[in-house]
Order: sequence, then C-alpha cells, then structure tokens
Amino acid sequence: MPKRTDIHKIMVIGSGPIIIGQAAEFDYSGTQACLALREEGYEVVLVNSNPATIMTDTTIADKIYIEPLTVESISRIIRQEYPDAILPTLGGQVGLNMALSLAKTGILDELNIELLGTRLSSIEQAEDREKFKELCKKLGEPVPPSTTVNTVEEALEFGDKIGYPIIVRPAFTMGGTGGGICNNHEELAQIAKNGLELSPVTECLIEKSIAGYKEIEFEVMRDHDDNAMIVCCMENFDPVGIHTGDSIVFSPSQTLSDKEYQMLRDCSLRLIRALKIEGGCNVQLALDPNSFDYDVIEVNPRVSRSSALASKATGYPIAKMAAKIAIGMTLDEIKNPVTGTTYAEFEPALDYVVCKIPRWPFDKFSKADRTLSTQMKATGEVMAIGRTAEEAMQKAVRSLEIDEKDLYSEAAHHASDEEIEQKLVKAQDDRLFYLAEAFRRGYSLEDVHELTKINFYFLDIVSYMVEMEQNIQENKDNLETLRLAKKYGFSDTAIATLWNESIDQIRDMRKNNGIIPVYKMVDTCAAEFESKTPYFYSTYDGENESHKSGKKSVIVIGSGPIRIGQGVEFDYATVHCVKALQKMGYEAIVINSNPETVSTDFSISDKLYFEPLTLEDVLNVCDLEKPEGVIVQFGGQTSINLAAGLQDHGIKILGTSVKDLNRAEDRELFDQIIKKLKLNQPKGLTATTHEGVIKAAEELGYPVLVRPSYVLGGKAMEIVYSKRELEEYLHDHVDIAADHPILVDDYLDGRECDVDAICDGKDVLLPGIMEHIEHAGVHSGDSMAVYPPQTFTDDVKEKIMDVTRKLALTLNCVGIMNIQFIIRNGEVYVIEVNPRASRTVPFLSKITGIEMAQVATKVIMGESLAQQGYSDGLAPEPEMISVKAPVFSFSKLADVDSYLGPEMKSTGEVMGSDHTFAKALYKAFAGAKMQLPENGNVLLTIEDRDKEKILPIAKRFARIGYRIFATKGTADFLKNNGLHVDLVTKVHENENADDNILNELREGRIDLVINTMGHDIEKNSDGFIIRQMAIQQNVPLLTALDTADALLTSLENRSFATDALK
Amino acid sequence: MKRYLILEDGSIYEGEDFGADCESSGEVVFTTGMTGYQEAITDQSYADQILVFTNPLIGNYGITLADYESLEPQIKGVICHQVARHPDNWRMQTTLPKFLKQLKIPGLQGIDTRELVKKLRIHGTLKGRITDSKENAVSISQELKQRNITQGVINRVSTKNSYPVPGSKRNIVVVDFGIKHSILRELAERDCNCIVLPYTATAEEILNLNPDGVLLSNGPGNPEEMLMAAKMVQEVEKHVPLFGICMGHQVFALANGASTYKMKFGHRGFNHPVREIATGNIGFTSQNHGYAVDPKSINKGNLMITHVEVNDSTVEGLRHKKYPAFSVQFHPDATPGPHDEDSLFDDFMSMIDQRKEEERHA
Amino acid sequence: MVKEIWDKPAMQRAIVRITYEIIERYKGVEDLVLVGIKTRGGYLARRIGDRLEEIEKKIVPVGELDITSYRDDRRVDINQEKISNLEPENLNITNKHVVLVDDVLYTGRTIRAAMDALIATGRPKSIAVAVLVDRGHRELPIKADFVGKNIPTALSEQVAVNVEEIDGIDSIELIKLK
Repeated sequence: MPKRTDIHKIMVIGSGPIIIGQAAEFDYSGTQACLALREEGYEVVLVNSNPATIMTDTTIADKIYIEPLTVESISRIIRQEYPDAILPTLGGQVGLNMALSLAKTGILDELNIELLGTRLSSIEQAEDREKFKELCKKLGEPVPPSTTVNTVEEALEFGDKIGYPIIVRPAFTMGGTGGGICNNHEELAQIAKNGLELSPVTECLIEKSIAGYKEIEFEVMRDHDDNAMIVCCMENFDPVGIHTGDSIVFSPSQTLSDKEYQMLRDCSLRLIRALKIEGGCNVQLALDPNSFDYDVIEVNPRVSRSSALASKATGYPIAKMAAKIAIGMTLDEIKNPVTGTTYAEFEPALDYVVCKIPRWPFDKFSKADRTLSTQMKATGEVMAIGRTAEEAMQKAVRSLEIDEKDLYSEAAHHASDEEIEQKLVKAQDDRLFYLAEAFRRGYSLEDVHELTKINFYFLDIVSYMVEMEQNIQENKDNLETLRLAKKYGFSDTAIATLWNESIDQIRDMRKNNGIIPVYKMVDTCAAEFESKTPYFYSTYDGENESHKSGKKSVIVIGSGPIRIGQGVEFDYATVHCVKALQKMGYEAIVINSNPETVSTDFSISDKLYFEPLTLEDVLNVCDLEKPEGVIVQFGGQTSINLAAGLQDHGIKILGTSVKDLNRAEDRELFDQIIKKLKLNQPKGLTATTHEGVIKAAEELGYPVLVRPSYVLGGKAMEIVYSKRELEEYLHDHVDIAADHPILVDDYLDGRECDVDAICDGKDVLLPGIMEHIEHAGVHSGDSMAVYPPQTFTDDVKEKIMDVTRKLALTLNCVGIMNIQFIIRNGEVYVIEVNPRASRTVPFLSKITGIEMAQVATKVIMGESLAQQGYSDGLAPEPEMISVKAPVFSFSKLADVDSYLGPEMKSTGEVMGSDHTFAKALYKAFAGAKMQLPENGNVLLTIEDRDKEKILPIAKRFARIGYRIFATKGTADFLKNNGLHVDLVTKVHENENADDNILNELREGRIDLVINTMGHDIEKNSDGFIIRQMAIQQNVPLLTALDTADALLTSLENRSFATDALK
Repeated sequence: MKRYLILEDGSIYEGEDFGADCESSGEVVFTTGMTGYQEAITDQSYADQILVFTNPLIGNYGITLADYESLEPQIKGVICHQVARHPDNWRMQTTLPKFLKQLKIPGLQGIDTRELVKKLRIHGTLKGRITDSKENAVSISQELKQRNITQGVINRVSTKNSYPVPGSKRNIVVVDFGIKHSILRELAERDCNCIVLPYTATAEEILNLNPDGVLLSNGPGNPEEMLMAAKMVQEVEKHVPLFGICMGHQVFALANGASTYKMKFGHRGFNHPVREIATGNIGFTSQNHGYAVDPKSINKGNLMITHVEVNDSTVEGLRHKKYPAFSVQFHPDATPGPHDEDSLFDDFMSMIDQRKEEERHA
Repeated sequence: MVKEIWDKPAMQRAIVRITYEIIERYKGVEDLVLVGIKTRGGYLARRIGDRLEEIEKKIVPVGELDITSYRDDRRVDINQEKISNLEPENLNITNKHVVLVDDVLYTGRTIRAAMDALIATGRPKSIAVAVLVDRGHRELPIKADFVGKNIPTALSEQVAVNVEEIDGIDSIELIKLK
C-alpha cells in the first residue's frame, strides 16, 4: 500500500543521552528514520535531549527540540506542535517508554495523535514478561520455565522450587539493568531485590538459566500487509549467559545447520506475526547445542543495537525501512536502496563473515568488576568484515584500540595456568586473549570447551590462529606464509613481531610482492544482482571491486568504537566534515570501524571503507584511493594518533601539520610555546621515574594533578593530596608509568572553561566559551557547562580570546583546536590544548548556529574564514542560555567509584536551553534524570575541608523545604550553625539500626545524596559505600558542591520565597 | 594441493583441493544460500553441475545422514572460498571433505568465489572443469565449449524402477525427474501413500494405479527434452489432481502449450521473494532452476499465472483453468531454505479431498 | 469454551482456493457476479472479487444482499412488503452466473432466503454457493459448490467466522456452548 496521506506531521522521539546499553545506534536509527520520513514528504518534529547527535542537527528534521525526555516536557511540545502522529519505535527503550508514558496520560487520545508502527498493545505484549510468556505458550513456542515476581520472597520461593542457576530480568529496564545470574538462594535474594528496585514497575522475571545454549539473534521486518522477512541472523561466539551486547557476535550464523536455521527462522516469523509488529524487531533465541530444543529468550519490538549491527553487517537499512513501514508502505513496494534494482522484500545473502566485538570501559575503570553476565557493560562495539571468520575476528580485535592488537596479550602471557582457567570459566572482557593463551600452552579444544562451553567451531578459529602464529614464526620471510597470514587477517604489526622485523619491512615485502588487499563490496545479495553501493571492506582475495574515481578525494578518519572520553560527538564532527567536503565538490571517503554510528551509513559519504583504524589499514586505503590528503582533526584521539605515521608514509595530512600537532601534544614542546608567548599555566613538571614523580610533587606542593603524557579523556589522571596517595597511584599504574613520562601539575582551584577555535592561519574564530559549573578538578567531560559564560567579565573573555588567538597562530593551526583554561582571580591559565575537534563541537555548533566542523573543514581545504563570512574574534552571544550536563552509567558497572575527579567517567550528555540560567539548569538536570521533588530529604556526608562550603548550601535546601540528614560530624556542624538536622548513623556504626545511613537509602527515604567523602579510592571507605548505595537505589547523587549549588539554583527557581516578615 | 577450475571461456581459477581426487566437468552455477550445503550437494537438480557457494565458508556443521536429499548425488563438483577446519554439530556423522571423497565428488576451495559469481552473473552460466593440472587449459576450454553436458541428464537421475513410500491416507503417484527427498518427506508428513515412478511413466501406467493425486517432481536439465512426460501430463490432468514442482512445473507448462527458455544464470538460493498474485502475499522460497516458463507463451485460456518472482517477475506458479492442477517453480519443500510456502502441500491435499468429496456425491 | 480452528493464513488460503475453483468452474470470469450475504459474506465476496481481478485482470461485479426480511426463521410482520436489499441497486444479475457467498453454511435457510431475494430482483443464468465453512446439519436440500473447510460440528457448538474488516481479526472459532 502506498504511504498514508491522512497524516502530515510526525513526531520522532530520540533516545536521549548515551549510556551503557544505549549508545550511538539510536542516533543512527533516528537519523535514518527522520530522513526517510522527510524523503516521503512528511513534516518531522524531533525531540531529543542529546545535543551530541547528528539527529538533532537542523538538517535532519523540520523542527528540532533539544529538550528533556520527560512526559512533562514532551507534552508541552506536543501541545505546541500538534503532530498527527508519533513514531516511538526508533528511539530505543527510552523513546518507547516515553511513548507508553505519554499514552497513559491520555494526551494522545485527547489530541487524537496516533502512534505509528507497532501498536501499543503489541509493545506491551512483547515487553511485559508475563504477557509475552502467555503469547509464546499460545503459539507453542518454548520459553524457559519462569515466573514474574513483585517481591523478593516470591522470587526465592520459585528459585528454590525449580533449582539454580536462575536468571533475574527486571521488567522495563534497558540493557538488562539490574539483572544477573544467581547460583544460589543468597545470590538470588540480593539480585532480585536490586532488580525489583530498578524496575519502574517493581517487577522481575525469574527464569531457569539456559546458560550454555547457543545464542542466536534474528533481525526481522514486517509490514502491515503481513509480509515478513529476516534481515540478518547473528550467532554469539559466547553461549547464553553473557548479555548479547557483551558477546562477540558473528554473522551470518556459523554453526547452524539448515534444519536448525529454518526452525529458528520460522519461530522468529511466527513471533513477529503474532505480535503484529510493523517495522523492525529483534528476536533472541537459545538453541540447545545437543538437540533441536530451543527457547525464546526475548523479543525487542523496536529497532535495537542489534539492528544497527545487522544493518551494517548486511547493508540493509533497517531503520529506514521501519520508518517507511510505519507510514503504511509495504516491503514489496520499497526499493532496496543497496542494489537500487531489487525490492526491500529481500532476505540479504552475505558472502563474507562479520565479527563484532564489544568495547568495554575497563581501561578507564580499572577497579570495576569485569565479569560479564546478563548486565551489559560495554560502552560501544567494533565490527569487522572479512572473507574468513579468522580474518573478520583479527580485524575486529585490532579495531578495538586497546593494548592488544592481536590475539596476544601480555597479561595473559604472564598469567599462571590456574589464572587462565579461572579467566576461561568466569568470562571477562579479555577472555578472547586468554583463550588464545590457553591454546598456546597446549590446552586442547576439548579442555577449553569444557571450561567455556564455547562451540568447537568457534574455538578452532582461535586455536587455528595460534597455530598460524607458530607457522609464521617458523617460516621467517617466507612469501607463501605471508600470503596465508594476511588471508587470515594477521596485521603487519603482528607478523613483524613474530619475525622480529620492523612493520615497514613487512609492509615493503608485501607490496613488493603484490600482497596487497583488495576491496569487496557489501551488496546484500552476494553478487547475484548488480549493485552500486559505495560500501567496501578489505580482504586478501582475487578481484578488487573498489576503483578510484576521477574526482579529487579526501579521506576522513572516523573515531572508532564509542568509549568513555570518545563518544558520539566525534561521529558528529566526522559526518559534518564529510558534508563540507561534499559541498566543496570533493569525493569524501570515510574509514571507520564502528557499526553503531551515522558515519558508517554508506549513504552519508561518497565511499565508506569499513576498516580498523590502524596505520596499516588506513595506509592500504590511501594506496588505492590516492587522496588529496587525509583529515584527522575530527575523529578524536584515534585519528590524531594516526597522523604522524601517515605522514611518514608520504600521505598528506590536511590542516594543521603533523609537526604542529606534535607541538601541541608534546608537553615539553608545548611548554616552550607557553613560555615564548608569556602565557600562564599551572606549574608543572615531567618525570620519568618513580622517585622523580615524588620529588616533582614535593617541589610543587600537594595537592597535585598526576597523569601520563598522551592521554585520552583523562585516562589515569588523578588529583593527589599526599605522598601516600601518590605512591598508591604509581603502584596502580605501573604499566603506564613505564611507557610514558608522568606529568605532575600544580592543582589550581578555579573556574574552568573550554573553547573550540577555528583558525585559517590568519584569523581565529572563537564560536563560544563554555564555562564549567564545577571547579577545576572535575574532568571537563564530566562537568556541567554553560554557554554563554555566567561569571566571566568581558575582560576575562577578552583575555581568553587573546590567548586563544596567540596559541592558534603560534601552533599554525589550520582547522579546529580545543583549549581548556582555568580562570583564577581574573587570570587566565592554559591547562591543555587539543589540536583537534573536541566533544563540545556539536553542542556549541547547535547553540551558536556556527557549523564548526564544516567551517573548520572548509578552512582545512583552503577556504579562509573571511571567505566564509566569519571574522576574527569571539562570535556574538545569543540570548538563549544553554547548559550541558553529563550522564553516567554507574548503575551498570559495579565497583566503579562515582566520585567525580580528573578522570572522565560519564558516557553521555544532555542539554537544556532556556531564557534564564536557572531554567536552563532545570532542564539539563531533568534531562539527566535529576528531577527532584519540590520538597524532600537530602543526605549530606561531607569531607572536613568542605564543611565551610556546605553551610550556605544546607541553608538553601532548608529554605526551599528540604529536610536535612547528616552523620554526626556534619550534623553537629550544621546544628551549631542553627539548622535543623536529622542525625543518621554512619555506615559501620550500627549496621542494623533503622537510621543507619544505608538503611535510610535502602528504604527510599532519601531523595538526594551529596557526598564529597573519600578522594582516596579504597573500596571499603564510607564515602564509596554510600555512593554505591545511592547508585544502586537510583537516588540522585552529587559529589561536587558546585553541582549542588547549580541544582539548588534550579530548584529555587521553581519555588516561592517563604520569608517570615520578622 | 593445487587445483584449478577451467571455464569454457578460457579463464582459469587456482585454488586448493578438497574432497575426491578426480577431475570432472559440468555447468558452473552458484547458490546464495547461507546454510544447507549438504542438502544442495545431494539435490539431484544439480546433476551435471558444478556448484559454487557464495557463502564464503561451508562445512561448518559437517554432514548428517538424515539430511541427504538423494542417495546418489549427481553433482559434479563443489567450489567454495573456504572449508571449515573443525565442524561441530551434535548431529554430524562426517565432514564435508570426507563425504565428498566418498561420493567421488571433487572440491575446490580458496578461489575468489565472488569474482567467479560475478562472471557467471554477467556472462551467464558457463561450462567448466575441475582439474589438478592447467596444462591443457586451452584444449579443455575448447572441448567444454562444444560439449552439451546436461543432455539426457534426467535419464541418469530418475529412478529406473518404481518404488513405494508407504503411508495410509491418500494415494499419490510421484513422477521422478530427479526428486529431492524433502518432497517425499512432506508427503509422508501428510500420511500419503506414495508410489514413485520413473519419468518415462505413461498416463496409462499412472492412471492404472488409481491415484488420488499426481505429483511431478523437480529435476535437472532442459525441460524441452521432456516431451513424452508433457504428453503424459496432458492426459493425466484431465482425471486426477496434479501438482508440479520445479521441473514438474515446467513440464506442466509445456503440456498446456507454454514454452520454456534458458535463463542467464538461473535462480539458486533461498532468498527469492515470490508474490502470490491473488493475495499479494510474499514468501521467501528455495529455488534451483536454470530454465523458466516464458510468460508470453502461456495460453490464457488454459493456464493462469498464480505466482511471480518479486525482483525479476519470472513465472513462479501456474494453475490450470479447467482442471484441478497447479505447479510452482520454487521448492515449497524447502530443505534447504525457508518453509514459507509449505502450505502448498496442504492445498494439494485439500484439492484431492475436494475431488474425492465430489466423486462421492456424483 | 472457544477454540481457534483457523488463523489468518489458513483462512486466506481457503479464500484463494475458492477463487481458483470458481475460475475452474466457469472457465474464467465471463458473466460472473458475486453476491455476498450480509454482513460477513459481503466482505468475503469482496475479497474473492479482488482476487479474481488480480488473476484475470477483469473486474467482477460484487454485490451485497441483506436478507433480513426474507428469513423464514425470524418472526416478521406478515404484511410487510418483502424488499430486496441488493446493493448496489444497479447490479444486473439477469443472465449472469451468480455466486452467493456466505461465511457459514448450516441449516441452509439463509441461502434459501438469499435465493428468493435474488430471484425477486432478476433472472440469473445460474446460482452457485460458496461458503467458508460447512458445518453440516442441513434442514433444506442445499449443497455448497465451493467450500473452504468442512467442519463437522455438534449441535451444541457454534462456528464463528471473524473477518478483519469488522472483527479486527481473521479467524474461525469453534464455540462450545455449555
């Protein structure tokens, strides 16, 4: 049926900030959906609180609202816009839950607004565990024995009855938040309790564990004419038991016979038909490896992370098709955009193997619990394509941008056999490397299978690679071996290590002997039909299908997997760089390895290479494409790190030269510039030895800021208050300290700000200054920030502009750069310069209206600022005030301290804009789920040195009607200052007392926790335990008094003054 | 060991050997199915053909006796990018290379199958030889060019003697043009009592068995060689409900005045969407055919087109306008492939039952 | 107790089969008119009509008949004039092959009433009957020419045909009365 003509205006709800379990994939799906709707002529209104996304770009929808995703705020927008319909199934679980909540308020009925796509009743049927089970029962589809519980007692009764292990899945949470596998009564008691508290409906599904089964996922599409089809089948390397978002995944399925595949395919189609889903959905199934028994795990009645992966793995744009289905079109009338000749009603056939590996944040959170279970912990993922499973896996490993570039890991190498077995049994993020190590030590496939339950076929992939390692080692400089090694995905680096040669020697040997990769097209149909997709992957095979066009081309390097410190912002910048290049008439070529993002949508660039972002892989593409040059300024640290190597191999780096990039990044060279320009900077020293670091710290005086040079997102950066803490730090970071010099800086307590400047070598444009709300010491990615600045005088702004101009010109910046300042007593101190786009680019671009990445790209390509209509200096400030707030994923990561410091911990951000600072703050807090009741209870646990500062804050809380709870020290202090305070017992004082601090939290009597205790990192410290409990109980938590001050400002704005006359 | 594929156009592909240690020639065709290599290899419709798998990796789950589609596969060779080293599946009894060795079918791996598939897509199906030496490549390709490989192929794959597949309900005569076991499995599942006859069976022989229905099976080769069978159908369709699959479909078309043509590279794989015209419903089908019914040749007074392929609009299903007889180009029996259209067997059953009902009342 | 006997795909298949059989019987769709008996028969007739059109690329006229006033099993005002409620009014059935379409064939009284009503409006060349379900228990000598499914039932049971157009779902249910 053709598209509907009775609706004209459609609202799309985005997925909000990036958190674990909900990453950039919804930017990708939402963007696709909006574009698809507009392509069909509908007016699109978009709501999303996440400013870092492409989907919130003015070109994506007709109207964009960057507003909190709350019922209150969306209702307001609805009443303003009167959309005919809402499309809720493309904004992840957040978008879907929002639609459910809206429907419940009755506003949709009142205004006669239709929910497009899958019906609400179907969504509920899929999401509500009990209803879903009933449906499966009716269809005769098996589900593991399970029950829904609302109390811990019910859970225990069921668990004791059917036996352990048992899985707990809280209802209506995303990424499996709060769930887990319990091996006994005690574990169940704990996890069920936690799960119930996290579930918005206080409900959990308790089910028999089917750990060890094969985990299979189908991406299914259906239209309202009941046409249904499978887009992609994916098989997890790891058996059931590990969240699919934390599993290594292959596509197509690798170990299913046709009988098994068709049986599961039939089941998936039956489910999507029974649920009457209109659009895309994801079906997760578990198959007994020893029989035809299978179980339905779950159905996601919407596009998901897996559908983003499936789209990139097959080339089939699921979200786009889902949007078109939602407006009434059918699969057999939509053209397949990949081939252009066939229809969307087509089950893709792959002639390659895809491997996805999750990217976990444990490099940042070295103390976190790394065990993988049903709670997803990865922040992002990489995908790689190869013609063999081995090749795909090895390419994926080196795409991860972790220390391990191949299947060899130092840690695993040094582990004892016992440790290795431990690591195999209890899966962690690094299990793959321990698998390889086990084979290296002669463990048999059977041994390893016994420990891991991983299928022999998969294990053999790893085992074969280990065999190959040996083979390579034994056949030094043998061309046939080299050819074979490349075919199985070994990197030049890996071969160089095994042959004890330089990487360039390997590269030269390869090239001299014609061992170069060819590029194959991703075409959805295994070459059966002609297609023209500009989407390629490398492999060592016969025919090359990617040919250089006649046009001048530029390669843009993406930013790889989403991780803490390098999020979707860089994808935003990459996409904008591409747009600018295209506008200037260049062929824009993207290289990236992240399947979740917009930049790896083949329709964005002129050509997409889905490749690891390593020097070898990028150089190979350069060899083929012979571009005018490569742009590295927009892909975060990932691309910047490639610049020097590319230049060394004769590739032109466009924009700021490699030499100047280095001058900005190298501490000593940079210090010289600061000195030459007579700029202020916190005193700092560099040391390369343990003793040197301690000496430096003592010279500067504590507290000091320590960090290794060349860091990303403040990795391993800490404020250290004493020698003892410094020694602890050095002990914890031995590995880093060995490779890089350690920087020791004087810690300056002042206001911090961020600027992004665009420079063409002559003029310097400063689109805006972002003032941080927290004082220096909290990582800029974790601090709230406001634009325009609220406390800076014109004089300070002028100084900032002046320093920025000097730095940009001296560093010969061509393009974009980011500078961080501390403002203290009217003086401007430079903390650091990043010669690249920063994470504030999308935020500032949107609120200033200056498309910074595009302007910078044009500058890089030779169009001056003046030619683009910009003049030197600080751009005029708008009337609206915008506040950015970070969003964290602590609830997914046990044992990570939520205390904010110089090391970045947030995973995403939201924005709030309004005409006053207080209102903007309020929206930012609301967007970050820090909406507080008008009056409530606040718990204060404050470090001694902060006591003076807490007094005004406590007074203000009291004034707006908050009851104050505090432990003895803080309570006494506040009481002495005339405040009414409720005393609570300290963590260890009387653990069973009703007024024990933890109990107060557990019982939900506290609405907000302000905790500044324990900068040290000990897990058993009171501060840490209180923070953990707050996170667990979903109680808003602040660890910086500046944030508390801001929150109060927003709360006060809502309340009336109630001052007595006398 | 090195092994080569030499095509009639003179091109040579170099790869590694697996399976049997012998040479063989055949029509080189490709399938896009991502599972089901065993079912495909044992499918008689691939008789005299060399099958290229577009899926880069086959053999992953070994070989299972119960999944054979025929006992003596007539396929001439198997080509893929990579054979799995360590297959694993609870049902497997042997590995793909061992299985091919047993059946004396040569395999060739390690060539750029995508490049080869594109060649077949552009030039159409080519004849080729799998060989361990490329010395006489020129004369081999010359010879291939002149040879008609598939002539008389059905004679080789069809059963020589009739045999029963006992059941208890409806009596079905199955005419074997190179039948896949999956068709018999579908009939057995519906309690049919089947007698399988060679493709040379005459109408008289068939009708003497007093069947409730007649099924024309799939098979390899050129349908235009099946003129005797077409004549048989012309008589049988007047008396008994009839269902044709693949080759059976083409024979049914020929019997009713239509003609067939050789497609450029055919349909092989199981992601072919087929639209049922009456309902607009689309199902994904398993297909394996190099010939198709020419829609222009169809006498609209006799036959109606019931199914078409969504992408290239080829004829996928026919039905007689006067007799209870219908046919489909695809495999509703799947195996390998999706089960989206297995209800056609139910339709055949109700057609038979309806007929019986009428006879009872008549 | 309600038991679903047929789901949507099964029902669709039956309708397609009836469609094919109609073509077989009349060697095409020449002079064919479909008349559905209100209300579900009407929807079914329209579906068959659509399908015939898809296959034969010719429009087959489809009408709908309200036979309330012809039913002999309903108490009606004896003086009330029997009005044929054949829609559309200009539908010509004279010299046409008419296929009467209904959901369930039971006693046969409905079909008989429909025939009466039809004959009151014109003189068809022939009348045939197509039903989705024949549940047996005939009280009149009427036989369906096209049957989707024979469902032998007990008198204590009811057969309910649901059509998506008004019931929101395509299904056939067997309802056991207590």
